[in-house]
Amino acid sequence: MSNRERGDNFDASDQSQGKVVNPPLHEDFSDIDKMASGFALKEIILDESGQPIDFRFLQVNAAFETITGLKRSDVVGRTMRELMPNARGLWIDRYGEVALTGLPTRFDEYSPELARHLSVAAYRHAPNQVAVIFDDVTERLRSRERLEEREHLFSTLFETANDAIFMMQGGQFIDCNERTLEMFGCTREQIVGASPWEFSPEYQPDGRPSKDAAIDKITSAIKGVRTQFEWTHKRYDGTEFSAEVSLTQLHKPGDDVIMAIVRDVTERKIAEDKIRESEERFRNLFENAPIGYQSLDARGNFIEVNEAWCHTLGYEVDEVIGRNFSEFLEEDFGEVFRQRFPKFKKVGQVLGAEFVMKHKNGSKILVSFNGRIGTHPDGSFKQTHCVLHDITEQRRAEKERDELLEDLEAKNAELERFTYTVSHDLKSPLITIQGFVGLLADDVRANNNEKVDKDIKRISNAAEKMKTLLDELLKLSRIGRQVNPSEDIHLAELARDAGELVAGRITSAGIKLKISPSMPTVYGDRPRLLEVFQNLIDNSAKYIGDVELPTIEVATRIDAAEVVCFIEDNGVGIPSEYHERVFSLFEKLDQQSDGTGVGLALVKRIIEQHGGRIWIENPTPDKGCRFCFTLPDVRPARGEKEHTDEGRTVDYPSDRG
Amino acid sequence: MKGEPLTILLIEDNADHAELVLRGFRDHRVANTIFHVTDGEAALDYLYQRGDYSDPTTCPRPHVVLLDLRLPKVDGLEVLQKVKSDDSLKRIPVVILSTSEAERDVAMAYDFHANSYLVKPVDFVKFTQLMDDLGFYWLSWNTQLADREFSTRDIT
Repeated sequence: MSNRERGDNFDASDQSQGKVVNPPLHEDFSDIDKMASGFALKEIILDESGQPIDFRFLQVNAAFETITGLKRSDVVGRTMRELMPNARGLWIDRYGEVALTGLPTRFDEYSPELARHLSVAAYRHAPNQVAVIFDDVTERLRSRERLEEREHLFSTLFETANDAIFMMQGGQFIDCNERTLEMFGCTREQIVGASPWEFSPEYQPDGRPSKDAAIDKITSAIKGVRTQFEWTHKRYDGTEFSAEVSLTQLHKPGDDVIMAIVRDVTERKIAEDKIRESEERFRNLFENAPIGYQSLDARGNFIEVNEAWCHTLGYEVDEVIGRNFSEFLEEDFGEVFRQRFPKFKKVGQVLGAEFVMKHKNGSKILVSFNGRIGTHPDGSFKQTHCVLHDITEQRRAEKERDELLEDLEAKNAELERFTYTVSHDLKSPLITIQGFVGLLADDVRANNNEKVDKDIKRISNAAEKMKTLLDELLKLSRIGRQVNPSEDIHLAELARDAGELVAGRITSAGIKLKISPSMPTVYGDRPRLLEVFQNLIDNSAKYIGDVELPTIEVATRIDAAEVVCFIEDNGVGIPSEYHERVFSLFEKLDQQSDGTGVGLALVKRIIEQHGGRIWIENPTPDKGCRFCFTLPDVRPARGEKEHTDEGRTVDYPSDRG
Repeated sequence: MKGEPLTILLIEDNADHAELVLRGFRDHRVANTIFHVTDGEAALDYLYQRGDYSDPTTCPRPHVVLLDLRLPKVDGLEVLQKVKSDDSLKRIPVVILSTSEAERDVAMAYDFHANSYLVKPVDFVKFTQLMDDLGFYWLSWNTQLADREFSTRDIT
């Protein structure tokens, strides 16, 4: 148990008067219980040598009880050693000294026994009696410690902060931290006493003079409004930097000391600018790119499309957003999309997926998609990012190119064949001529007149053959180069005219030529079509062979809405393995015939020139031959509809030519 | 000279050319027998001894075939291919006698194992010379396979 005594200043005079007054013990301290401080009167016990070894409590007050937690009845009359045998000798020494010297004392001490900080004053009340007055200062000490800690904390913060922190009064810097000096590139002397606008450019980026703006801000801070704003500052060397400033009034309203915290945001500004620029660039790219872009959500509904997309498909952005992608697809592709979309979302990438889309005007557009998916931070699907290319034109061009190439290859092959055949077929009679001219010379020398005549005949035939061949080649070469103006052609009339041209052969062979009167009227190149009919009738007449009642029939029929002209005979026919070959140039089935092998090639060429096809059918398995051909590029006669024998209306395909 | 008569099958669609060949051989007394057909189909019929040519006594196997390339019905190259891919016929030497000098024709003919490729000369003297040399070569210099199948009969 411990106790603390304290002596107050006035006790000193007390002490000086101690011996004079020497009041009776109890009466002197009759009202000590009224005192808030603890009080104890102690009798110092000395040993033989006069050294203090203990003290006895003579009197304590109520506050003593409160502070020490000891009862007055337990204490009074007992000594310190009795009460607390293990207590430190410190108290006995201190009070003993007061008793011996008569000098009052005052000290603060921590009492481990009470776990309290005590502030003590003691004076000598009477010989060997010491009065002690003490207070518990534990709480006061603790709050001071806390205060010191905080002060330390704040000063550390202040000095080590990465922001410039400074105080201003009356529009001038009065104090600042180290960082301020660093940030403004100056010494303390250069900044203290200066005004914030001296460390700013003349004007802020918004055009306001820095001084006006600063005064405004400071004024409102002084009024107690916490202000935060962006500010361009100027370092001591004149360079500028962007800052974020916050002004706080430090004390109570009306006090003109304010604290400013300035943060250099140059780096952040630069980063922000970069992000903004980059964002702008991408936005620009997205809006103005010539490539269509679209973004779909998980259900395949449009989230975003760009200008190029809208341009390609003829829609406005508002007409697209929120609608499903499949609504813009050709029917068949809607299903394709529904099947492929989940896979795309899973795989995360699509390359060259082709869809036929519908333009607002109804036209079909072939597009190719490339894209990726965007994901949420957790990796789940968020939206698609796809670019589309309109490849309609590209495809068309590719197709056209392929067709042209194919055409060219065919033409080349044909040309090669042509040169080959021509050289062969012209050389052949030449060999004959030369050969028989040689033999002729022999025969003349041998006076073999019979052979001479034969030789001459062969030579002349060969020469004739060359001439015919050259004529026909010329004719062939004219097809495609010479185009006659189209006109209405009554096919029946045309067939009759063709029949007239080959009447000689027909009549001499006793052939009956039947021409159907119900053939349609067409609109086309008459001289060319006349050649077709003439050649085919002539060909039939030439090879009809030895049959009973030889007949050639010219008529038309309808095959799958297509008009098919045919020239049919009841002759010996052509075996089906030769059906293709007969149309080749210089191809003759019968070498003994007087043809050149050009006629049917010529017919085929003309038909193909008109976009048609030509083929041979066998009307019966064992005899007869039917040459059939179509003329899709020949338009029906203008404004006319022809009737067949059965009274059916014949409709010609009208989407061509 | 072996003195054995040579049988030649001439496959030629051009009557004038055939006449030139035949007269060339005749004038030089090259061959005892020349059979002439005018298209590929007939040529194969002859070689396989079928149809009109089924009698081996009147239509013996030739020692040499003279083949024109451009033929009606069955093309000359087709005839060549058939002959050379048939074990019973492939030993018969086939000499192409064509108007064509086209590289492609020559190459194809050799690809199909033609034994020789001759281009008909336009010049009469050369033509005559060729027939002379041709006959002499096959009659005198060329070694025949003398088996029963090759026995010939003069039917002229």
